[in-house]
Amino acid sequence: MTVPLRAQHIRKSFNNRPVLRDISLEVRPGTFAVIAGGNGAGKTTLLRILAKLVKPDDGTILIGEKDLWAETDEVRSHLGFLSHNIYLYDELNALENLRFTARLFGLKNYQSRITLVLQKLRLYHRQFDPIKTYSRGMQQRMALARAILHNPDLLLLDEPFSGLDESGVEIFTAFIQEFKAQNKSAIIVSHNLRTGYDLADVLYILDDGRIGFQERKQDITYEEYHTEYRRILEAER
Amino acid sequence: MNSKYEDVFYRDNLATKLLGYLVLFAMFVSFLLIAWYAPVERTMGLVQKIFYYHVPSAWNAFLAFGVVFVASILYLTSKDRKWDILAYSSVEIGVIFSLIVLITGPIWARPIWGVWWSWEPRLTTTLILFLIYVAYLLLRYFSGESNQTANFSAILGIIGFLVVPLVYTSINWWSPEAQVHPQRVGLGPHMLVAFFVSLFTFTLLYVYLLIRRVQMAYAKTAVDDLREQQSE
Amino acid sequence: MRQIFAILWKDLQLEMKTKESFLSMLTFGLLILVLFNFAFDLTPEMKRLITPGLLWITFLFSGILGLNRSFSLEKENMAIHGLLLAPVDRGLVFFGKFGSNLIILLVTELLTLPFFLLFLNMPLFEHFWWVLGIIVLGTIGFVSLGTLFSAMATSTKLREVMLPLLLFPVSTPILLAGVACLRQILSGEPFTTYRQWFSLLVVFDIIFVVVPSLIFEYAIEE
Repeated sequence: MTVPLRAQHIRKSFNNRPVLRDISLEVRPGTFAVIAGGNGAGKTTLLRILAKLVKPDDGTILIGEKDLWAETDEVRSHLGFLSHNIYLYDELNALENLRFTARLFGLKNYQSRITLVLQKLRLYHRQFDPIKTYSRGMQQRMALARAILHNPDLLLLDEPFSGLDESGVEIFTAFIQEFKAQNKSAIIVSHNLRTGYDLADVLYILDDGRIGFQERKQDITYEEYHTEYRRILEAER
Repeated sequence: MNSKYEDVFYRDNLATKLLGYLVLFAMFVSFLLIAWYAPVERTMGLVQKIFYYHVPSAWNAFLAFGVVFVASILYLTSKDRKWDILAYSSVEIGVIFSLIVLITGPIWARPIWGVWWSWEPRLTTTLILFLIYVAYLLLRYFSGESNQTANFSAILGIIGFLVVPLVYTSINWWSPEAQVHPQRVGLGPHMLVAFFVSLFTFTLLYVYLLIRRVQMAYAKTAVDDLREQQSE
Repeated sequence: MRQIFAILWKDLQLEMKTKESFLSMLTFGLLILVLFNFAFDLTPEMKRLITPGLLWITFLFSGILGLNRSFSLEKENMAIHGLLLAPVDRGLVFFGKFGSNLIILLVTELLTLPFFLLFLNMPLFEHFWWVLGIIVLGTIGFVSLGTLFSAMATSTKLREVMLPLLLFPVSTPILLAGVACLRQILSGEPFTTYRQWFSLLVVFDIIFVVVPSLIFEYAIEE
C-alpha cells in the first residue's frame, strides 16, 4: 500500500492546554516530509497521533481512503514508528526482541527478515547480547530495526538521528534512501536542520501548534529555510 | 467542548433552587415524624431511631454506586466527559453516605448489642463499598484530570459495582452467627410511615446534592475552557 | 491467538532471565510465614485453624509484588508502546499478560506450599489435588483483576501503592471463598460442605476474566 497520507484539521489539547491547533498535511507516496519546530511546538504529539497511539480531539487522518481511527488494528501493520524510547526489553537480546516483534505483527517465516534487518543495521554480530549492553547508538539502531521489521509503508520517525555516531548516521541514511526508492513515505521530525533539509521533499515548521511554514524543498534554498526557522523561533519567545 | 455543557443541569437554576427548598422542607417534616410521630421502640429504646437515618443512608450509598456504574459504562462507550463528571460526582456523594452508615452503625450497635462493630454482611459490604469509593477518589486525586484518569475511574466504577453482590454473598455465607444485625424489623404502621418518608427524603437529598455537584463541575469546566480559549 | 502466546512467552523469557518477580515473591511469602510464627505463639490446634487464612494472605500479598513487576517492565523503555503499535487486539494483550502473571504466581505458590507443610504441619498431601484446584481457581480471579488494575496503577503517581488499594477490596470474595474451601478440605470434609463456596469462586472467575478482557484497552491506551 503506497498511498498518500492525508491529515486534516488535527486538534489536540492536554489538560486544557492546546498542543495542536489546526494541523493539515499531506504526504504523497515516495516523498518525505520533514517537520521542524521549537520545543513544545507539538511535533512529537503530531507524530504519535499519526501513529495511532494518541487520539486527536478533532480531525481526520486518511491513509489512502481509509480512516486511520475507524479502521481496525490491522491498519497498524502499515505504519512504523520510532521515538525517544526504544520500546524494547533491556534484558532480552536483539534476536529475542525482534522475534517478539515479528510474532506480534503476525509475520511468517520471520527469521530471514530478522537476519536481513540485523545485518543492514550492523547489529548482527551482537544479536545474542542483551539490549542493555548496547551503546546509545546501537540502541537507536535497534529501535529502527523494530520499527521497520514488518516492512511498513509509512515511517514516522521522531528525531531518528539522536544518539547516533557518524557511522550510525551513515547506516540510517543508507536505509532511508533505500526506503524512498521503494516508493514509500516518511514523516520525520528533526532538530538537525541540515539533515532534515537534505532528506526532505516537503519542509514543515510547526509554530505553537500550527503549521507556520510549508514549502517544497525544490522551491527553497537551505539558507532561506534556515532563516525562516530562526524567524519563527524568535517570534515564539 | 463549551456549549455541550450548557444543557439541562446547567440551565435549570431555578428548578434546582426549588428542589433545594423542597429537600429542606422534607427533612424538617421527616425529622418531626421521626422524633414524635414514630413511637419509641419497645426493646431498643430511643437509640433505635438512628435506624431512620442509617438505612436510608445505606440505600443512598448503594444507589449512588449504581449511578456510578451506569455513568461509567456510558462514558466508556460514548467518550463524552459529561458521564465522567456524573460518575465522580456520584462517588463524592456516595462516599459520604457510606461513611454515615459506618458511623451510625456502631452508634446504634454499641448500646444495644454491646459491640462497636460486628462483621455482619450488610455493614461489612458497606465498608468494602466505602473502601472502593476511597480508592476511586485516591485514583483520581493522584492522577490529575485527563482522559486516562476518566478511563481508569470508569473501569473501577464498573468492576467495583459488579463485585459488590459477590462481596455481600460471600460475607453472608461466612458468618451466619454474626447476625446481630436485625434482618426483619417488625415495624408498626407509624414507624413504617416515618421510615418511608425518611427514605424518600434521603433519596431526594441525594438527587439534589448530585445535581449541585454536577453543576459545580460544569462551572469549573466552563472556566477551564475559557482559559484555554484565552491562550489561543 | 499466536499473539497471546508471543506475549506470554516474552514475559516468561524475561522472568527466566532475571527471576526477579519469582524470587521476590517467594522470599516475601516465606518472610510472612516466619514473622507469623514469631508474632503469634501458636499451638498445633491454632495452627490448624489459621493455615487456610495464612496461606491465602501470603499468596495475595506476594502476588501483588509480581503483578506490579509485570507492568513496570513494560514501562522501562516504554515497551508497552511496542505492544500498542502492533496490530494486536487489546483483549489479546490482556490474555497474554494475564497468562504470564498467572503462570509465574502459580509456580511461586506451588513452591511456597512445602514451606507451609514445614512450618505449620499442614496435611497437604492427603488432599493435594483439591488444594491445588482451589488455589488455581482463587489465583485466576486475583490475577485477572490484578492484571487490569496493575496496568492502571503503573500509570498513576502512586504506582505500586495504588495496586493494593484497588485490588484488595474487590478480592474479598476470593479470600473468603478460598479460605472456606481450604478449611473444609484440610479437615477432610466432603465437597458438599463447601460446594457453594466453590461455585462462588467459579462465578467470580468467569465474570472477572471476561469483563477485564473487554475493558482492558481503556487501561493501557492513552
